[in-house]
Amino acid sequence: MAAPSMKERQVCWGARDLYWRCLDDNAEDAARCRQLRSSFEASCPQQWIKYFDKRRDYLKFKEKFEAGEFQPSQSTENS
Amino acid sequence: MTHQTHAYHMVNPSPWPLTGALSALLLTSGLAMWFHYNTLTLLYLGLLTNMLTMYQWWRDIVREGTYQGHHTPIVQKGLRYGMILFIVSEVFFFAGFFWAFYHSSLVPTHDLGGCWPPTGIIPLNPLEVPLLNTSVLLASGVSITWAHHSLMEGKRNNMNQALLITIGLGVYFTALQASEYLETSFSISDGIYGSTFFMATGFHGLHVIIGSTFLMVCLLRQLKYHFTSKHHFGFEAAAWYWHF
Repeated sequence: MAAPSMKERQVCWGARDLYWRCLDDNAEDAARCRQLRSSFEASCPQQWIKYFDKRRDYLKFKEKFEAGEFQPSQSTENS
Repeated sequence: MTHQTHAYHMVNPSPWPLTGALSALLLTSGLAMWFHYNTLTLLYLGLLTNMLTMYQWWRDIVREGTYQGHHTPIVQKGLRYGMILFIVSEVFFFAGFFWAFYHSSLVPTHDLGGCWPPTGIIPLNPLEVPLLNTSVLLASGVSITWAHHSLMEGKRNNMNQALLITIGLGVYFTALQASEYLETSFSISDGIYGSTFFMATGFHGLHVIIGSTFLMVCLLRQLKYHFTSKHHFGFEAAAWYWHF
């Protein structure tokens, strides 16, 4: 399997950006972005799709964390 | 035949291996009790019996070697092999911690943010106290070499001074490192960064303390004229350990 060429990479990143923009606009509702999801899956290597999905999960977690949504538990505070 | 016709050391029966093994049992069970039931008694007992065993066992070795003459050249060769093998085992011990660090830091996972240091970790500046600590230890390597050469050349005052400087540098390192530990914004429980940082530097610090103690014992023995310019394996073992 040859690595993706510059053109292929541009197409893949572009497809990913469109898909993520749709998710941003639709509050993570994957059902409403199904078409962009399938064009994303068609343009990118499998391993990249897995990576991008995990990366998005992390970025969403990071937003919540920086907004202070995760507080240390009272019971383990002094251990 | 009332004496041996070989140059090896047939050691007299000794209780210290048994007390050492028992202290190991008390230490391990003591740790388990401390971790799970928040009680320190067994651990303190283990530490006490361990310290007593070490003191008495090594005291007996000094008596056998320095006062009774059992450490012939062939016996000394065995002691050298022993110390070398022990130090090699310590090298492999640290290799594990280095492996863990590189495994996690060279390919940081998603939950860390795909970066190292991980998101949220504010590391210490390596070019501040850590760099000073490096130079302190390197300088102590120089001073201990000076001590060794002075010993071999029969220069007593030089040897005492150089060994004292080496010990002083070791203590200085420990004090600096302790102050750094108080400065970190992260602890051992702060993810993989905290774990690898404190495991590696913690065991290293423990080894510096052990090495400094070994050197202090050598200084006390040197002041009591135990070492000759040709025969001073205890000091050499301490120097090897210190360099490691």
